[in-house]
Amino acid sequence: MSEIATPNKKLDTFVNSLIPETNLSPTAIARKFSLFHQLSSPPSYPSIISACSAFVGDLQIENLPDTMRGFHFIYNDHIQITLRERERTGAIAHTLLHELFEIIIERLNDKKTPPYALTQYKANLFAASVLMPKEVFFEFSLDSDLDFMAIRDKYLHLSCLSLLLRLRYLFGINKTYYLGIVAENKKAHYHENYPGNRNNLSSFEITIVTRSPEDSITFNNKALLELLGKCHKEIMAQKDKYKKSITLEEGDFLIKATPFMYHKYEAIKTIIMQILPKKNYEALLRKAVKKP
Amino acid sequence: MAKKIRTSPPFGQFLKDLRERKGLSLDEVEEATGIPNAYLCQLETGARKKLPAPERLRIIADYYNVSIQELLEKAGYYESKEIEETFEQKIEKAFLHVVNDPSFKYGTRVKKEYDLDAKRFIIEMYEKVTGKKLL
Repeated sequence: MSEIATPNKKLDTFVNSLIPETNLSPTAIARKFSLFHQLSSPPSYPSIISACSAFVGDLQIENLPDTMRGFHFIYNDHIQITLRERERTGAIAHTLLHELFEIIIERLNDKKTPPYALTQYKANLFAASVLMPKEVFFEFSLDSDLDFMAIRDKYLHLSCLSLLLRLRYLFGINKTYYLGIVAENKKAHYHENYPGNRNNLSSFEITIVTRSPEDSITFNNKALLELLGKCHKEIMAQKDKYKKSITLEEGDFLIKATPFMYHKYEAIKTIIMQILPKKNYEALLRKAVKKP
Repeated sequence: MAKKIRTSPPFGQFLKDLRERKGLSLDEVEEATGIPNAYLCQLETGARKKLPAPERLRIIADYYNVSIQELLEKAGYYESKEIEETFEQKIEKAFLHVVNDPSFKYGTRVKKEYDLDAKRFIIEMYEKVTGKKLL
């Protein structure tokens, strides 16, 4: 009689398939994961849930503390992932994959030494790589001329950080420097009610999406703040109520800034800044156009 | 002026018990905590009469997974009934227990650092799955 494969056994089958290869990157594990589950490109939300459930039988949705997006534990043979309730589907999928990656690495460590150094960045990169397969996502980003609004519309359910992380990685492997910045207006609610403060940049907190061990760091760099000021000014100079993305050229660099607004009083909630060298970007665009 | 209290044999014995329960040598404790093994040995045998500085006590408490209160009490700083643990201290102590249980592995996607609520949630999950009562 054939034995029914439990989630733990399926997970171990996948983990065992990774053992012969050393130093697998999160993106390589993501490719193997997508192949293992025959995920479409891009994968649908139900297919992600189903793929993760096949590895971890116990998925829970709970009211998690404010600082936690997801949680997992392994105790004996019991593996559970708990996700925050009332999240967008993209956020759930990202967190689920993030937690699953940590579990995969835990299992891998049990079978292999030295242990794989785990960072939040790697788990986030794994999640972003599964959700945004290279071919489709990068091509679309170039086709849309890196219009972040268009990219976000296409991948509506995903977080800005996740999108920028993936872009940063893909531009990096194409040997192009790319910096993704999220400037969040911490006092946007306040500015809604007091329009006179809308131009006050002091309440903007900058997060840089990097490829370093940390997926994001808080940064307070004078030059970046000046750049943010220029972008903010240009955005606010638009007469339309709904402000659009703007593009600035600063020396050899191209800066694309996309505002996300509170509609009621036009206060800016977030500005996404993408910084990359003009020359490299143009070369990449030419290469993309040449493709049949 | 700081109150000078001499280490008592129960304190040394307590430290020795903690170390032996973990099956560790003095060298291994030195390697993990950075506290010289000769110093640790003097504490355990009672040869060193002066108590460790609070920072060293904290390191020892964290390493052996006991509360700083328990250690201070054993060292003779105060009677246990004198000071009751705050809720925050109880959480920290229980969380340390969870972190040091090798049979329970966990991970979480947190925005910055674990705050008290996050630690409490992890402790509650631990209690639920292991059946142990920590809080």
